Amino acid sequence: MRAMTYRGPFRVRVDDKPTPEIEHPLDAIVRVTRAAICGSDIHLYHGMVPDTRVGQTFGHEFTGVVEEVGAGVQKLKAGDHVLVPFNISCGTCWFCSRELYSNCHNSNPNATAVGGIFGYSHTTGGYDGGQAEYVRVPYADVGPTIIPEGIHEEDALLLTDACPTGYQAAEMGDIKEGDTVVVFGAGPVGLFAARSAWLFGAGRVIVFDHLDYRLDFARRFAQCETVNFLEVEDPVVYIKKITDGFGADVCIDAVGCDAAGSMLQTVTGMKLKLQAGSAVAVQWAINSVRKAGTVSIVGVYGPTFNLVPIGNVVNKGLTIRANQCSVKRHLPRLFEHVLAGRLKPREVITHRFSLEEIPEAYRIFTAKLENCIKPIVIPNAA
Amino acid sequence: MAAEPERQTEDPRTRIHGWGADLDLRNRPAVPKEAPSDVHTLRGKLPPRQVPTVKIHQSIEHDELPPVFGTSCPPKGLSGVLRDVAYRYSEGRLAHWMTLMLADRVDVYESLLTDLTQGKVPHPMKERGWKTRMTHKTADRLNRQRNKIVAVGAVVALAGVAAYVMTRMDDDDD
Repeated sequence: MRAMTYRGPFRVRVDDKPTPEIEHPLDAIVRVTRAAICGSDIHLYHGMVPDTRVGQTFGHEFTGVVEEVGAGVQKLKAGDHVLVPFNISCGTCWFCSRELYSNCHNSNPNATAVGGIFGYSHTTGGYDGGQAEYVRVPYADVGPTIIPEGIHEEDALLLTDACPTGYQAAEMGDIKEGDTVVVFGAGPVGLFAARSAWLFGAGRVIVFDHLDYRLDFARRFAQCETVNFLEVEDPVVYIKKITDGFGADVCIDAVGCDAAGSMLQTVTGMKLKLQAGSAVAVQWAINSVRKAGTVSIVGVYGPTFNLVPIGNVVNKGLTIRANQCSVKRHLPRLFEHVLAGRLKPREVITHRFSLEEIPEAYRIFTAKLENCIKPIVIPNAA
Repeated sequence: MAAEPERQTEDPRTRIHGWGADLDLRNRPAVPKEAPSDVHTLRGKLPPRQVPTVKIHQSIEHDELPPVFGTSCPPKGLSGVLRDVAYRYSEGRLAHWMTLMLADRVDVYESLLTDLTQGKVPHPMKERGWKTRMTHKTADRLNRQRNKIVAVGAVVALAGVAAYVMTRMDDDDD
């Protein structure tokens, strides 16, 4: 089969690889019909995630058709059209039984801090991902979900990660009616976080980024206020000024370790790798939220450590909520929102590529070319 | 300081389709934060075990291999030896992660050699998406600034090298 493969930082190509086979009775083999490139794939592409091996196929957002199931699979059969959450979860461990699917203890041999994820280095289990014609899907009775009637396939694709992650970011913010919510990052996750904040009753939603085209998009898509932080001397002071000196009630970090905005953080985190990426967004979030406010983190950081003002967290009495999204938990409610027209996930898709064009797709997405918000890939066998 | 963003005066209740749909806690999927469960063991009821067909690295914080794991890209060569070393340390140790990062970089060069020995000539420009890079201008102002600094730096460095070479040639002439 044809599959994207990682060759080193900033280098990907499409290779012939063996078509995956059933390796466990609870596996399924899925023929990929749509795959997306996620903002967090950029961290892999930049070589920032430890144990990213040459030859791995990325892609943790995909939909497809079940081709084959293992002997133990009961809920799926060949021909089912499914969306596959990015989490690989057993459904039975202490964490999964509490619906903390991203924290599954039975899917990642390489680390205990994070559950298994498709196509996201060996730090999350060494699974190949969905930017390919076929993919092996473990625990097929748990994650894969048949796409309900009335849900467009590309809406379903966005429900595998970006949309539920943004939604969970807003939910973890514990938003109260009328709250001011600041979202750092106008990428797909930030857009969904901003849009979701209204569902939770926010009174004001403000998105920060440094890319004008993304901020334009955010104003239309999430009907929010926007600020280009390059035009602001100090984003923290700015947020205080526009909230009567109070600070935002809730701040959401939807950026993660590739954040721009601080030379110190860029050099130490992204160039010298002295910390686990650049922590600008979380630093601004902590400093600009009001005392006793909530910081919700869904941006991805490396596993070592980051320069963050933890003293301010203590002094301000903040609540910090963070996790990888437990997609399966949110799907029933998100299907309702999509069917009711309250969320329109596929509106963020700006680019569609064939699998063979994936090096260009990565370049366009990472270099912010052609006003790209969300690129998706349509494999040859779709 | 930039002007305050244009504040939306119209009430979001009327302006936003779906405003407050999940305001009631009962509508929020993650309430309660942890769903009730009677599973008290870390691994719960274990599913059948996958049989390893390739070498699988295991965190020393796991007491055993989980029932399911990925088999992509088994360790190989010097990078594989480095990964073996890294997995002797726990996830809280810098030695674990930095050794893995080193192994990743070694893996890049090893894989390049493997390509060449198999008669596969890599195409780094294509792999980097340079066609797009050369024909498009980024909307990222910070990237543009960085590119300018790199370009000016490259010109200055080249001029320096040229000046040095010319000086040496003059010296040789003497």
